[in-house]
Amino acid sequence: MMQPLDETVDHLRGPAAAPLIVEYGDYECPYSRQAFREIERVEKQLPGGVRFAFRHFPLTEIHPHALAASAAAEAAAHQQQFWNMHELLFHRQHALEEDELRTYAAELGLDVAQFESDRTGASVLARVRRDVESGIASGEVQGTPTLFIDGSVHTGSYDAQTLLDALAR
Amino acid sequence: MSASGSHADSARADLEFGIAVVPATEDLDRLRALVRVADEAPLDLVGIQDYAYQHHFLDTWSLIPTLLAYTTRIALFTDVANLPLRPPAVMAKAAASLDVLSGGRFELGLGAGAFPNIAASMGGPRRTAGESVEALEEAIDVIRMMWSREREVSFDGRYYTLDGARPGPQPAHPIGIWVGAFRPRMMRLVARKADGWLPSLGVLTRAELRAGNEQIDAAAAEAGREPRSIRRIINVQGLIGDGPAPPRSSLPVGYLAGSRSPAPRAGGVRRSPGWSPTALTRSCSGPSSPHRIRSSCSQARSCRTSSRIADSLRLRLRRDRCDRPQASWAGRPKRSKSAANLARSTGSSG
Repeated sequence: MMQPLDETVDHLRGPAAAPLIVEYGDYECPYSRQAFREIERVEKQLPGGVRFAFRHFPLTEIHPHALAASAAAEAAAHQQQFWNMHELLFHRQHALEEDELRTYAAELGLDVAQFESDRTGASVLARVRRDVESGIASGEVQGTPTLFIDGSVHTGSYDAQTLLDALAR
Repeated sequence: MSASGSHADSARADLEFGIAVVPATEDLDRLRALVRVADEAPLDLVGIQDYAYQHHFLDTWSLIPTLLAYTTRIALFTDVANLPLRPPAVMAKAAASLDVLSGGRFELGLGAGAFPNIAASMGGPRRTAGESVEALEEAIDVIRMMWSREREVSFDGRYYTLDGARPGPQPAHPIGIWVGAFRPRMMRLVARKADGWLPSLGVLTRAELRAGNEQIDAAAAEAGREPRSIRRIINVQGLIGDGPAPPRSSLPVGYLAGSRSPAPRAGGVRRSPGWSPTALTRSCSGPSSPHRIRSSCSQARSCRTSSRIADSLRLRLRRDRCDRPQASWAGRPKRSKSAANLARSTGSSG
């Protein structure tokens, strides 16, 4: 079972009445990035739009930069720039060293000192952990990306057309 | 469960999952109920073994059409059809007919006949192991000729002949010929001529399974065939269910009970030692072609569990995602390593 959305905590975008896609993803995972790109296409193509939430599932054993990247996205969220940072992190997936994360914060016009302090702070990591634990608690998230459509795990492929078909059901 | 309706065709093409039901005459209601549940689950395949000389079994070729008639999406296959007891041209016609009648839901598992003396007891030919392989090879040629669009076909083999036979009807879809094979010579035949390899875990060990896959890959490449084009199907024997394993003696005739030793638990699913989902994933991963797995279900609940495991395996075998290393199946009992790492990095012990 997908852990229910918490609108005060989850990163959500799109109209509230639209069908919901939740992605558990990892910023260093090429497939998570691909899935996000496909979801963006679905957002553009579906007339009524899509409600989309992203949850962190950094695979720290195989992706050394994944956790720091998730933390950076959360630190950006503290300055209301989650989605911009999210986009940037996937776009620059191969450049996720600490100094590079700092550059991205500057690029987005964030208060870099604040970003740096938030990025390594306990609250940001607790927020990431909350997503990881919700994925594990679902019993469905074994890797990334794992997508849920309207609360049910999506076992098919995640190209835009397949997602559109699944949303139409 | 939520899996229904969520299968994209592309995922199905990667991995299919099914059940075997035993064609026991005395247990028909249960058999029909199981097939219906499998159809609705939805699983992909139902295999029916073909042991004509088992006096308490129904004839497989008579049973399959009745099951096709009241299912809508699941495919049925002979697991595996006994060649010595049926002329291949007639078998081809029966297979094509079932495929047409069911809208393309029949596949042909085919075997050379494991017990020559028993085949002979019903009037079949008594063949040595070597002769059986030769006869099977001829039979595959004959079957394909009978599925062709030729006006007339002739074949002059040592075991089978056709003399101006008229092929038809053509199958509704390209029926797979999946050969039950265990010995190297049969493996080479599979690699040369068959559409799939259909061994059984339990008859083969996992190491032998791996070796067999490699033999087929190598022989296929030698024969100029893409190894991936040869389907790999595994019969898995064991009990899948949520409760404690019932004693063997309490199971209906012919149903498979798995190991008698207490099975380890993972995520609420009792698994037979050796055939855990993790072991299955390992067996199915690797360079060979996509696999089909069929497990033995003795209860409707087991079918639903199989469906859940099928989803889990489908996800884990995908090549378009990153996986947690050594993820525990179903993930509930243990903290994941990633969560543990996170806890460490935040200094939390919770």
